[in-house]
Amino acid sequence: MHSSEFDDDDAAAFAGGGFMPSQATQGPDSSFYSSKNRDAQVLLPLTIKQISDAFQSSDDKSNMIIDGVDVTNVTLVGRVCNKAGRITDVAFVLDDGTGRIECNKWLQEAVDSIEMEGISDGMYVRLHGHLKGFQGKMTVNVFSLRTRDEGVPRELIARQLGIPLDKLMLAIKNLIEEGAIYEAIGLGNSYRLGWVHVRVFYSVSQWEARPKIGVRPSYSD
Amino acid sequence: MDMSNPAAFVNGELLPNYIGKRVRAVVQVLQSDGAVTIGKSTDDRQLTVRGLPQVPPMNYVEVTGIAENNQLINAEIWTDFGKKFDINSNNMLCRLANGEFKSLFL
Repeated sequence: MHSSEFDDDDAAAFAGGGFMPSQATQGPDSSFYSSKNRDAQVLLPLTIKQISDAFQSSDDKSNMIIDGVDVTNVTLVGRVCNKAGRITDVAFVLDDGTGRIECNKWLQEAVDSIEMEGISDGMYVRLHGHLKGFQGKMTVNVFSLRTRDEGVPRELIARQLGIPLDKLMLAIKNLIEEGAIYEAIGLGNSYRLGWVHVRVFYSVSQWEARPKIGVRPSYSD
Repeated sequence: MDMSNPAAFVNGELLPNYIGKRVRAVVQVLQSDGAVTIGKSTDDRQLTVRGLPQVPPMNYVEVTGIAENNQLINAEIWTDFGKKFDINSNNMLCRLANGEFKSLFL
């Protein structure tokens, strides 16, 4: 293994956490994902229903866990409603058909204002943001927001990893079957380009790819 | 969070499961006269939508509203996706969202 490439945190991550392809695994060990490994922050595609369920069942609202993963950054797809622009920020409600959640986008630079000016009620957006609890409810602090969702072409990922495309897809398929990752058809799947949003936590592969978090292959039509 | 008014992802086959309830479906417009729209669901069944404005034929429109019967939706909200849409993914999404992943949606 490339032990010199990894610092102590990463080496601990590879040590027997059930991620070697040869080991059968019942699924990710939830303690493995504790955020003491700073590389383990993942971008979670979620429905608002998932957030609501986790919120209801969570004792510690500031440290929710969904599917064994600390919820930090999320990506949601839905329609913008009740947009209210203020001087320092824009508030709106995102409706994804499973529920509605309040969102806030701080206007820190000119580009933020320009981005938000182009958004109006009724538009479908994909947003990335941070889930936070405030006064007994969850809200999203929006980092970025887009009306068009391009995804990342799988060919680009294969090229960046330096492996053939068919081997990449096989690795993903194997990881799904082992339970190391799962395939989530995000709500964005049905719009425009049709891609599958795969959260790759770690890929321990025979091609010795670096761990990648939040990789999103997309299937071109 | 407001969970009071969800809309189920449906195609033609699943619509009958939600009569009287709020659904969302994508249809390809075949005929549109500004009052009643005839369209094709993503699993190739004919659906009727009431309450849409005139939409160009062959455009894909997502309709959210109450399912009145097996084939009719009363539109509350609609989104015109234009001429390009991945119907296979949407159809798969409807099946998964009503099947093994239903708990993520409803």
